[in-house]
Amino acid sequence: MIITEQWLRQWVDTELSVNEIADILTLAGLEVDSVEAIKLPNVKVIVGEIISAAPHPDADRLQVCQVNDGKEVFQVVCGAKNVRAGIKVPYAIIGAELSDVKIKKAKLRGVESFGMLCSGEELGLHSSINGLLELPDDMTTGQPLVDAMGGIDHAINIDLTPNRGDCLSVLGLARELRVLQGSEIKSLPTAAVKLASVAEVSLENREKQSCTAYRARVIEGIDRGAVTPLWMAERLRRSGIKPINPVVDVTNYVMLETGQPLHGFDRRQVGDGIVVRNASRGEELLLLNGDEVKLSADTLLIVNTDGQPLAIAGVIGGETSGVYDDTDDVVLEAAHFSRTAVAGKAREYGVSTDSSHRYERGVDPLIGQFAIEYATLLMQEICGGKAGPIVEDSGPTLKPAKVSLRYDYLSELLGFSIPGSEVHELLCRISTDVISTESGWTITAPSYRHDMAYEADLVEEVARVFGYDRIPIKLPNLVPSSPIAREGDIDIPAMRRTMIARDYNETISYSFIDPEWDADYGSGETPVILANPLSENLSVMRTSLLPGLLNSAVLNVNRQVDRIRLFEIGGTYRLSGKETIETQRLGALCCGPVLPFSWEGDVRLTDLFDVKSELEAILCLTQFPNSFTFSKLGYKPLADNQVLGIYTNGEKVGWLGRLQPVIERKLGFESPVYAFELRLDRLNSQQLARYHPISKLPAVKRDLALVVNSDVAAGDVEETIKSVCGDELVSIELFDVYQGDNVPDGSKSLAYRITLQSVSKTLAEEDIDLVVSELLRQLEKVHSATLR
Amino acid sequence: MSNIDLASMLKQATAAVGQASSLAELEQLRVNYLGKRGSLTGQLKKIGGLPNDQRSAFGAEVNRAKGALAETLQTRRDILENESLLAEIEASAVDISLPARGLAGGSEHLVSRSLRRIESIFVQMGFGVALGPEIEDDFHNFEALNIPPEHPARAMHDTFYTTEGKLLRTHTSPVQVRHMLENEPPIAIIAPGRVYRCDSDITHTPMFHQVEGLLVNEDASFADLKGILLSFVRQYFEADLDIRLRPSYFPFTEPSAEVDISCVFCVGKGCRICKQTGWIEVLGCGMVHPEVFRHVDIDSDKYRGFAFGIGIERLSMLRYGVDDLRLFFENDLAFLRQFQ
Repeated sequence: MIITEQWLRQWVDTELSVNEIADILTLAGLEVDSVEAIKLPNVKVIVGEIISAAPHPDADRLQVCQVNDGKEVFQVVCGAKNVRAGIKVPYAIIGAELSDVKIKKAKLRGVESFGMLCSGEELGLHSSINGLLELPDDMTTGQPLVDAMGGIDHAINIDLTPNRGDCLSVLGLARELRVLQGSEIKSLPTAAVKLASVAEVSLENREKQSCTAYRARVIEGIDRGAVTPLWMAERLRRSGIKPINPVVDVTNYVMLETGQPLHGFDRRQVGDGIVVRNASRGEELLLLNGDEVKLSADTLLIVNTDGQPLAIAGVIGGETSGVYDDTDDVVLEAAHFSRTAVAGKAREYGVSTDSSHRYERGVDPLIGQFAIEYATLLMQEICGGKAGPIVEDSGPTLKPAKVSLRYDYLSELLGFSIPGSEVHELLCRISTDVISTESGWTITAPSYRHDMAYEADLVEEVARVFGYDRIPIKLPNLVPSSPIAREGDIDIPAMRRTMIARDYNETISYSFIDPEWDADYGSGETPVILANPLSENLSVMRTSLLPGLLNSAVLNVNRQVDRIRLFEIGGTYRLSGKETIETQRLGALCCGPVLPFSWEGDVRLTDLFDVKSELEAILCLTQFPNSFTFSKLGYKPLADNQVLGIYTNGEKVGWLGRLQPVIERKLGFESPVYAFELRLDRLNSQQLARYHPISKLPAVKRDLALVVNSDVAAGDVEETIKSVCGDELVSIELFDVYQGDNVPDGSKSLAYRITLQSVSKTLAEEDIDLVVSELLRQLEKVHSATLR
Repeated sequence: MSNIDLASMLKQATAAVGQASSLAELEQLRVNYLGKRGSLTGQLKKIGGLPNDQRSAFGAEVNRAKGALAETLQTRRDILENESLLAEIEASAVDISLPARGLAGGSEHLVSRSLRRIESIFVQMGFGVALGPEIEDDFHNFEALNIPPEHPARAMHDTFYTTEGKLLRTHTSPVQVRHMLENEPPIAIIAPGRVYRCDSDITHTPMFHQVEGLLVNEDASFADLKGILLSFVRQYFEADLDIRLRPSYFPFTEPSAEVDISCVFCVGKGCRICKQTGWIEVLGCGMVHPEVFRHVDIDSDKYRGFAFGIGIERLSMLRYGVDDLRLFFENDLAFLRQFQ
């Protein structure tokens, strides 16, 4: 919200500079974003009085004027339509600067001209009419216009928190300065409107919960030709509001000054009267901004007695019911709508208005009567008209809240005791009704401070006015809380360090992705879908980390990076029935040369076994690295026969493999892309790694060359060896894989070195032979393996 | 053959060994003198022709000579081998300034890096780390945090909703609610994680990271909160920064404050980044609102608490001089690899 310095100073008496005011407000929680000087006319633009205006001898459209600058009379040639003797206008004398132009003596069609008479537009001011800006008669001729307009001024831009709706007005900020500084402020004027007509409209407020007060008044016969006076137009302009016509300007002016939004209807649209009711579903309204909207059923409406909607209560008026240049009779509305009634409505209908902004943050329920009287007076002053009586249909008057504050509570919550007398004084600035009690005070919250309901609210209020910076700094005695992670839980920081040590770069991608990417590269589980995504390509929660990794990899490929190694640790999301399930995962992606570019020559490309080694390094961080098994799997984004499922305890916990070559090509990769993903929620263990006694007895090695069908997985063969050899197996090393001469077509040879050792006895030849023959029997049975 | 002949033979051999310039030459000398048919070895055959009383003395003499020569040969061999090794190294000299071979080392994301430091600072102070779901419900994200239906943050504009009527948490504060529902005071936790807001421009991304802090015990106070935050800020930035608390508004704390730190770029003197104020806003905080305690069934007459929320990207940007928030989620290696 923008408030101007001059306007504020008219309400509050303070010696403080504008920057001091800004600092005080900021430190009291009303954050001043900026203080900017208002752009005003150059000092050499003065109030000039046109003594005479005569036609130019050689130009039809020009007038030759004699202009009084307060001391002398100068000749100025002017082409404005409204130029005439007797009016005061802005006069840019020789040497004045207008925008980038410096005014010099000139000859216009042979007639000398000393300076220029200006329109509002030429001075950067609002101009309500074409032609010269006509200044009020009471301005002193010869005075610089900037001084006549009150001198320099600043726009104070304040970013108010949503609880301080009471400060969305000049009056509100003045009150705030009174609380903070004890400054004197102007009291509200009390002049009453003299009734000049009996015209009124009927009023039926059907929603007294939402519309707690509704007042309206008819003003007949306003002057269609009236112009908003310069002072008011300027205050609006400086506050960032565009002047429109006198009636609308007055409603905006009173809103800025008092915080009470007002609305003017053209009486012809209102007809016999006004009804406040909720919309029926599907009702339509053409808004002031030209949008045609379908109204939802909980929208509070102002309608006429014919049922025709005139406005969305507290938000925006209808296109047809507003006040325009041809309006003669106005119905002026001053209502109080509850915050809940207006909340979210502006956004729902795609508008944002000063009115909705204020109602959403709470308008003083007791200011309406004053505001409608005040606006009527201003309107009559500017555009005449005969005011009828105020009609009202309101709910019960809201009782201001009584809130108590215990002195002990205040001291305990702050960790510091403010002297009781000082607290009392601060409370008296906040409320006019402060009662001392045995334990502290009870105050009546001012009607405009709906944010005072709890004792804690008063603590904040007292601390805020006292000054947060004056509360000392302490350190609490903290009992170290028990660690939430257990030793058997997977150590995610260690996992991150391992990946980094292995040359991987950590990424963080958005949790929401393009639905097509989820369909193509996701896990295939049912995704969680956003009802209101920022855009279609960010509308589905990811079921896998792969799409994000691919997206990041593509970005880097497009930036000419050929060696890409990325990982991410983060959530994936899916639906199970109506339930959303979140699973933390580690995902990694790798493509390009296995090592960085080298002066030694070509570096081979990464293959599946490189990536498998990264994965195994991660599995080694668990308490049960030997429990993991790999077996073939089908996984949509990955190439057939190049995917391994990762299992532990019979449950799938991840996958590893190569991307479908078709996808690699489609995304612009020039070398194979490998990736893996691991569920982290299955890597925790209740049991820790345990010590096994180290055998001092001799170990025996046996080499076995097995011939199996080509499609037998070595991993499965290994599993069989493990299960047969049992506890005495120390290691299995696959030292050769061979296909070719001496091995039948369609078969392959796997050469294993098996090391056996017992903790309890030296293994004799017969023991070993027994194990080996059983092993061969099982291998033949399960894998049709033969000894080569 | 006399002892004199033996001595002159040894002298001759020693001289020859001293002049040998290659290992091959040396080996030839060894064979010539000490080999099976070597001339020194051959002396032993003469023993048979000697009188009995001289045999043993002569034999000992020959063996001594053989031992001495063997030693000389070994010494010479060591010298020649060292020379040859040196020559080999000399010959194969490489430019040792050539780049290393092998893995280069990856990089930790700045968010992880900052979070790791933030966690260690708070853990060292006695806070535990708690986590919670990112897809939340209205109760935990809003209602229990005293965010009434008319609060602007409830509007569709700020919050992402799922088609199931759940929402993406807009802050990490729901973790405090969950933690307080499940644990009795005293409580001291931080809760880091992803949060989401329906907002995207130069200074906002629809996803970012926060760390929530919560302390509940019988005597937590606003003065304690100031102390914890000052201590944190000084440790995180490793500088004697000042903090400034400004009153603010969060529905779940009362009193509430925004915390500014003295500008880390100009040390409080005023610069473009702090808009000449000397202060930079870094986090929000306050005393836990009685309504929040009511929702989690903690007696607000007995217990006091404070909470704070820190934006991790914001802190990282200040710490490492990053000037564009969007870089955090683009995953451009040119950015990521700057933080190894």
